[in-house]
Amino acid sequence: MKWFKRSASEQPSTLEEMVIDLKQSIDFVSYENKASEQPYRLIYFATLIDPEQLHRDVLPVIKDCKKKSLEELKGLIPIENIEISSKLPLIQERLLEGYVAIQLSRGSSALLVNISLRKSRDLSAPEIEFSVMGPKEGLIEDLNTNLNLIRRRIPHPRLRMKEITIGSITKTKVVVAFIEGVASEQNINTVMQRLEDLDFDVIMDSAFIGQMLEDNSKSVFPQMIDTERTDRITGHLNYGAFVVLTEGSSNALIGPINFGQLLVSFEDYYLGWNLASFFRVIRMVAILLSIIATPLYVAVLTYHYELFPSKLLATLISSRSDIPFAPVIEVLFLEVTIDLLREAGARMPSKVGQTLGIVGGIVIGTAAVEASLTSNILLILVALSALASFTTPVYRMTNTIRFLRYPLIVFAQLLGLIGVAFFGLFVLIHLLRLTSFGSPYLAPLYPPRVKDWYDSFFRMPYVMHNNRPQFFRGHNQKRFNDKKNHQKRMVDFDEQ
Amino acid sequence: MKYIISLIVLSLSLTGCVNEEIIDQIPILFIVGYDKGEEGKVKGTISLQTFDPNQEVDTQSFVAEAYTSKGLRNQLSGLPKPISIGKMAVILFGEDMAEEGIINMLDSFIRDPAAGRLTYVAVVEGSSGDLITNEFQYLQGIGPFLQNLLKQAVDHGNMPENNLHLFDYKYHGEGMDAIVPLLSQKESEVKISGLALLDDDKMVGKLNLDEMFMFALIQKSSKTGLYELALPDGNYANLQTIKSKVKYKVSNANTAPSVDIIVELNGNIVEYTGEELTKESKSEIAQTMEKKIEDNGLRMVKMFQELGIDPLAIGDHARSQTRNFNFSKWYDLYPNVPIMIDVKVNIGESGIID
Repeated sequence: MKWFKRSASEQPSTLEEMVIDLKQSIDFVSYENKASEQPYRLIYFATLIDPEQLHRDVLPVIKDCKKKSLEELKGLIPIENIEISSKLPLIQERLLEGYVAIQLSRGSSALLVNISLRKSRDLSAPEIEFSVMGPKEGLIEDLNTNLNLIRRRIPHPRLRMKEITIGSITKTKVVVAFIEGVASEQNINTVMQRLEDLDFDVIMDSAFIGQMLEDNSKSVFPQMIDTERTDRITGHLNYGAFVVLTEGSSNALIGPINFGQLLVSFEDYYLGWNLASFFRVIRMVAILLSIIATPLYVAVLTYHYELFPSKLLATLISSRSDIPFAPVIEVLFLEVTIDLLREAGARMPSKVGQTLGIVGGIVIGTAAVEASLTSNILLILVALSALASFTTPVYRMTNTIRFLRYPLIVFAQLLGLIGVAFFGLFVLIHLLRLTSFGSPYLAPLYPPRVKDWYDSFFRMPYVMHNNRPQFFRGHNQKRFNDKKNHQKRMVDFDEQ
Repeated sequence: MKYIISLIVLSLSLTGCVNEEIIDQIPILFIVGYDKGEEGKVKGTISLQTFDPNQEVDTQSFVAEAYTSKGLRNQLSGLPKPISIGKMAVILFGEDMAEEGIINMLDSFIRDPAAGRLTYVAVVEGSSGDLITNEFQYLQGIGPFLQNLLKQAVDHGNMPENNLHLFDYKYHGEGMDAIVPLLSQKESEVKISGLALLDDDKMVGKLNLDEMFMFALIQKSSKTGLYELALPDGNYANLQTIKSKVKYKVSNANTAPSVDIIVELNGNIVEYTGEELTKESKSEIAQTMEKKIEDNGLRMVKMFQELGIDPLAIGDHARSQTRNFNFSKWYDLYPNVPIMIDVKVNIGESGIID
């Protein structure tokens, strides 16, 4: 980084010096036209501007302009965001954003016109948080498009968006969106403060910011939800959360969150409340199963054979009678195999990945049982827990679950069920101490917030959603008049 | 960081404190039998199942002699250690052993945290070792088979509730005595032949299957299976799912006690050999049943009083109904306490064609 620092200290002092300095890049253009009636000079990065706009809107105006002042030119060019400046750092910054600097005579001041070219992909359906029901609109890498999507969903004057630039090299724009009067000022101040305090050079994705904003960066539990779903963003904004959007990232960060929200698939809101509640409970069971299924196998087979019913004992023993390894080796072998498959599947080109999944799953699994490396009961357990870990709607949580299993297997091997209980308590204590932007992580459960239970581990009917969750500590708790929703009137044809 | 490292090191040092018992490396016992051995020793017989990958079960039995229950384990040198009793289903005693007392052997099971409390304790007419070593054709092995046999007899048959826990409770409790199932062995099958009556831990008498049924009905409120009743006119009636409601009334327990056992039965007739099941024949069945239970019950109670045992826990009922109850006086009075049994039988359904 030495070269960078040195050149930073040798900042050019005049416009000419700057032009010479920037000329070292091939895409930098400083074009001087002295032959025409009106001499002018254009300075821009060819790779950043839209040439069509330059030729259509800017050059004809300059050519037709008989007067010799930037001020008058400013009034003639049909583009917004035009400024005149002689400040060198500002000019340089604007050039790097895709502005063109126009000079009519050699001097220090220039007319800065925004003709930057933005290229980004089209909108597409969310791939990570896919849902069968509900809108299929995902964020993309372009910040303005993302803001547009959110603003379109919440056409409310109080939806505020605050911008801040982070990254000494990437100069990434980060926007914090919230609904004023609904979100707690304290939370907004906290996140703005933390963003302002960030000192980092390259921000490539919102994940960078997310990791640096977290209260406890040593925790494996996500303290912000990253989402690409605009409906999830809207829902959380309405509850009083804030959303951090990053230029160049198709994931927005939502905070503060609690553990219950990690189990919320946004499809829950499109299903009936009873079905949705049932599926949330299923997801909770799945998480638990996914974490403790194989450690329990290790603990019970190694220390507590009494826990098996007599009839299952026969099946278990006969399935294990050929296997030369202790249960823990058997489990670790199969767990690592599954994680290898998962890791390989994620890195492979998609078409190869599919084949590999089938080959790996079926062939390796069957072969391992036939070669007496694992018992078929364990194969079922491992496959089940791998499957269960994917039921979590937030992808970062999936990884957490995947990770937690390994230390638990070790504890199960060391101390049996006591070890499993130890580790469970350890995780529980950690979760109790964890906060997300100062809000307790296990919130509606502990500290108990009974009023928030309508949308946490269950989702109750919408008529009961008349208050915003206390968890977000906003001022404006009332959402709607619930009495009106209770009257389901049938309008007769003779009634006006 | 120091804290975390020391935590990990400490937890690793704990690993020696737990005994590994990997499921396929230890012999798991389902059944053990104790008989009188030579020179005051105890002969212990166990049966072990081995499982092969084709899910076939093979049974092997081992015999050893020692002075104590745990001492037997040392003598079983043909078995890999540790011998685990966590899945013990049935503990058998030979009749000769049972007559001398079984608490010395059972004590080790009652103390051991690894042993279950729902284990069945049973007495075998003859030798328990012979029963275990006999190669019956039961698919799952003799241990699980007997467990299932006794469990079904309690749940759906005529056997009163019993297991190791209840034995322990009744052995240590005042004013009550334990009963255990009595098994007998015919060439190719094991049969329940009744109940063994215990005085503390010594077997002092037997009840046959008929008496066991009566005992189950009057001991406490319960549900029994099927009973075939002989009627005075030579016909037979079968009663099913008989529910009994039992009340013990003990008066003047400290001075001149008298006991009333009030039994209310509800049963269904499922089979009748007579011509037609009329109202009259139903009430006749009910009356015959009442009389039979009263007679048999009184005879049983008389026997209990003569033996000085209290399997109906009348002493316990007396205690619960009397202020400042005096047990030592009760024991003196018990053999001569007048006990009345009052039975009322209601016939409920008699089939769907009525």
